[in-house]
Amino acid sequence: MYNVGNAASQILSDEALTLSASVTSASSTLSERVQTLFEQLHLPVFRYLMRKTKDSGQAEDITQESFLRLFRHLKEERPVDNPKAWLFTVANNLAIDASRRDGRLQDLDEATWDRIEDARASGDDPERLTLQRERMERLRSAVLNLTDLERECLHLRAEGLRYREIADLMNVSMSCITAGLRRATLKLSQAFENGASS
Amino acid sequence: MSTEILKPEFVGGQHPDDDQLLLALDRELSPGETAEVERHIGTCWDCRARYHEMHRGMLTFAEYRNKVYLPALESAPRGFRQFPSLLNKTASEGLGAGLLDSLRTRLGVLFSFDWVPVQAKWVTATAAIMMAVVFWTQVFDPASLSAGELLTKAAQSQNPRALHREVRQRVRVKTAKAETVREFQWATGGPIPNAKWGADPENWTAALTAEGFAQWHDSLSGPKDNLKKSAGRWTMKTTVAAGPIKEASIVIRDGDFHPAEQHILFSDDRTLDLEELSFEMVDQVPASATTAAPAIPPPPESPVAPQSQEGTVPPQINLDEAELELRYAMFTQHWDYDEDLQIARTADEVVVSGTASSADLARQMQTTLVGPPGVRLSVSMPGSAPSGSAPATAKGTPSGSSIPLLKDRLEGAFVSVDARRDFIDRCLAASDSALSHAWALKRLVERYTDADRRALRPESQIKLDEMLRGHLQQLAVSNSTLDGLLDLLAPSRPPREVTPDGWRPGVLALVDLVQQRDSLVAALVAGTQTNYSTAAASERFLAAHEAATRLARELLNRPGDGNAPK
Repeated sequence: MYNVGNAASQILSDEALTLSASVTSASSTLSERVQTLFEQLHLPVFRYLMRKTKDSGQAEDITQESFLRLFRHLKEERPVDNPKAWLFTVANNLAIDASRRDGRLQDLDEATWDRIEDARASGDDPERLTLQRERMERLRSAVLNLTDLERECLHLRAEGLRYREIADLMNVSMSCITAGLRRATLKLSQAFENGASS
Repeated sequence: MSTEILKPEFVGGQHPDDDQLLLALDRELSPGETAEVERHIGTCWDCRARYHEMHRGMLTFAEYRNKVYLPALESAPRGFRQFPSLLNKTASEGLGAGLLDSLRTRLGVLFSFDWVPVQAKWVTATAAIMMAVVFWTQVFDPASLSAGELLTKAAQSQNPRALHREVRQRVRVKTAKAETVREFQWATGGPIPNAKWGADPENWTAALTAEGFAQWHDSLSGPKDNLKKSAGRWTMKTTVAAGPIKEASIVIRDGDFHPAEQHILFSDDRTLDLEELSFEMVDQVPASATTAAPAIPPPPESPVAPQSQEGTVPPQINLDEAELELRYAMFTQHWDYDEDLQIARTADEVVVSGTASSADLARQMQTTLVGPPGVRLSVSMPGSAPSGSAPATAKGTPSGSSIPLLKDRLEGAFVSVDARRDFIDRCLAASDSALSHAWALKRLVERYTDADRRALRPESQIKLDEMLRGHLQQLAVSNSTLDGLLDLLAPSRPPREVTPDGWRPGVLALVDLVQQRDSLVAALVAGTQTNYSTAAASERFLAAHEAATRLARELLNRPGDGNAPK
């Protein structure tokens, strides 16, 4: 059989891979279980919220609040089939509520780029720095050339969400997500192929 | 040797499509399905190349994420240090020791499944597998194309927006009593006059059209659709509880979405089978009236060709005309806006290069676009060669914009989740389509200045106009689909006026508007951004949408201005 490798493992976070094992382990209190979940999932949720809120303080608050809501939800003996999807959905709703109260305007990708440029501008080999910068610029440009939907699908997939979970979170059909990811991966691949050949 | 002979068989003798390859690559298929795809790509170079192309895309994003995105992402200012105490505080709120113990016990039991007897575990496992099978076959639908989308594509295939074309279709019509061959004709660009179905198979007058099937389908209340893809053909079967027809199916080729068969079962159990024997589109432009689509007619010789030396020197090819014919052929086949292809000129030929979206399509292009002198095809199978870059699509949201979700309004307007998703899918598809046609327009406008246009033969100018108008019309159709979003938005102040000076600047302004709007649509209905107010996002969408709609209409109705279609 042709060895295809595991693409998912390239971008799937460790947290997501080990989640199911920890959730099903028995003999711990509810607090301990939620704490374990928090340790595994708070960064993916936080990163997702950073894209939504563009505010690290607000993203941190909403991340914590999402896990506290999960705790309360379970405490009331209400079922949660998929804690990861549940957390992302609650985080998304809280982010929407927060943004209605207080929105800040910033293009995250531009701001991200500025920061990475600043960080890299300190004492590296100039030639290497130039090559790195060109490569980073091409990466950035390729990702920015995607549509918002395609980019969001990639980010969520990279956080370990399955296609169905992304579709549920974004309230679109699974075929829409599949099509978005297909277009996105092909565009990125072709953009770099062209870049390499030029 | 035919390449088809070398192809290993997948399901029903066909290759997995891109979506199946992606789903297998991303471990979204069942282990059995994944193994089947992997077995196929182990022996099929085309599919393996495509598979690796998607893999490269994933790795590119992973590199971007790891080297650009994550390192620059701000960390949580308080490092989540408060969380343990917040959790403890929440845990102790109104919770007695007894309840805590109870919860602990219940959750432990719940997660351990110790309470489930062995037999019940088997039953549960079996039920889970059955649910997975039902989900896979009925809900997820590996075909990944809705019935509506399939019919729309098929209708476009039979009745392209191209003007001045006449379709001739020969159909074998078979009933229990007789078998005949009938011919149908219609002009493209408008409704097909003989599409509507009757109720009597013995006096059947309708052509074999997706439009007719769609008309019947739309007239039903509560039809049940079943969509299958097998051996390179889609089969859509619709059953209905009441009416003169109780079941009908249409078979559509996968490569070009062309309807090939239709089968109807009437309520009195009479049957009608239609099979297409031939289908051709004939150009109605006088100068090339005998040319049948989709083959490219040979380009005319250059007016400066040395006519006196016939037989000794090959006639010089007019590359402008060859290129125009090539573009027109791609336009009539819908390959000029949704495929990643580039047209370039060398000193002595016009070259189409890029990668087709599927191996089948690449082969179809090889057949359709090759032939006339002066045109060279360098279209590769997916993944096997460098291709032209895709047009730059919406580049994020302009800084300073304000974009929320319309989650609450969508939920208010559509009670059913399915209806809501259908609506969202339609909006996203319409926006995507508008963007594709806008880019196709832009490419044409940038390629053909007014002077370039005047240098073409009159009939070629007509074809150029037809392409411009065709893309504008399709863009206008997508605009009207997006009108559905207006109902969800609060009234806003009048949109800004966009009145570019001239047709060409108008098209470029339209492309910008459509691009902005695409980003807003995704944010409004699919939640790609949430950080902004509903009012501001709505206002921006309305402004972009209404300006785009008005501008598209204005451009369509602006004759005699620069290189505007006449």
